[in-house]
Amino acid sequence: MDHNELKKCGFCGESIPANATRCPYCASILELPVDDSFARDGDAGTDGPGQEGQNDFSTGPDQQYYTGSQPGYQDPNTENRPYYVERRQNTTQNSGKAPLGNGLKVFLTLLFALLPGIGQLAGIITAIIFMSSSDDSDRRSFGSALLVANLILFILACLGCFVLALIGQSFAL
Amino acid sequence: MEMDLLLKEIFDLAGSLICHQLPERSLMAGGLVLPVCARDMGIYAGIFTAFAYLAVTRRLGAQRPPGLAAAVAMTVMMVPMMLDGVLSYAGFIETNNTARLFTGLFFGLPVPILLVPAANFSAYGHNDRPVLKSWTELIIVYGAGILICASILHGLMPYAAAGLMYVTGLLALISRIIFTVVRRSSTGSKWRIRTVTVLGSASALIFLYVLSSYILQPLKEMLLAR
Repeated sequence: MDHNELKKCGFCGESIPANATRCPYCASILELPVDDSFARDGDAGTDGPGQEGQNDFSTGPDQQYYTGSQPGYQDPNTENRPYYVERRQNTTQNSGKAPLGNGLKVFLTLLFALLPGIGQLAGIITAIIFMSSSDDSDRRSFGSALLVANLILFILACLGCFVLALIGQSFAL
Repeated sequence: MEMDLLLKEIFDLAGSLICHQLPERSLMAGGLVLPVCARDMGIYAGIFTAFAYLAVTRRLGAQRPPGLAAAVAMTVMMVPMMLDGVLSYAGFIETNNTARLFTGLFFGLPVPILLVPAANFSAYGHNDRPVLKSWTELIIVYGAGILICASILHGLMPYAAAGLMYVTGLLALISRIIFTVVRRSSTGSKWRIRTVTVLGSASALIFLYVLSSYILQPLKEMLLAR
């Protein structure tokens, strides 16, 4: 393959080398090397008809997702299976919607982080909105990260305010 | 009675990790002052109630967060505690233990409901399991929380039950936060994630103990000495 050949990142839309497996701009994983032995050992005996080929990276957006929680699907190696497998199967899933820009993501994250209390509450609501985007994995991924960050920041902000208030009260008189 | 005093020592130690434990801001049960102040009791009663509901209905693995309307309603109900705390500390309003308890409850209830899907949500999957299926469930959780807090307020709940509820709520919150962070950032197996969660939770408790010993308790003694 020609090293100057470019393709568009499905997550951030930037032009990246065609052979890149990870976007150098947004760090999204585009492809991961397939460990065939893992797929054979873990899934070979359990995939039913119609589930063949779901480990392929050529899986198109119209094909069914593989999540391990599908009705009727039993994975004997669930206990030992690394969590990244689920992500590996679906990284190519994305909608035709324009992805969120990195600048906007940074701006929103900072805005919600810097306003104690109200900022985090707004962040939680925004996160739920992004997580509800039914066909956009980029927004959903950002939404879930935003939700975790804002919940933790919210609890830490409350703890900090409480300690500060107590310090203020102790030295008030 | 000796058992109650032994329990009180244990619960008071747990309470000292996150609370000033000022007696005038705390509620009583069975003639004993509860291990945390009224506001914290409300928060942890809410956290306990929501976690208990999710555990009983087997939703601790739920992936889908509540709908937008429910999320907005829950977050709006968190605001009164922030206002109550900020305005009373700033001296603009006089608050009381009833207000502290119930505003704390409305603050604590949504935390597990949001935290559980935050850990399990998959950006690339279907997220078939909702954390709450309907508004009725939300009303049930809030109703149960209100009943629990009303029983604490009127001294109907035994001291041991209230203390155990606080300790369980605190441990559930800390371990779930650590689990969420580890789950979202780790690529290890389930057992590795569980081990890291246990170690992380123990570290968080040690951190809180140090924070309490060197900051909270000296401040509390200063306030009590005045």
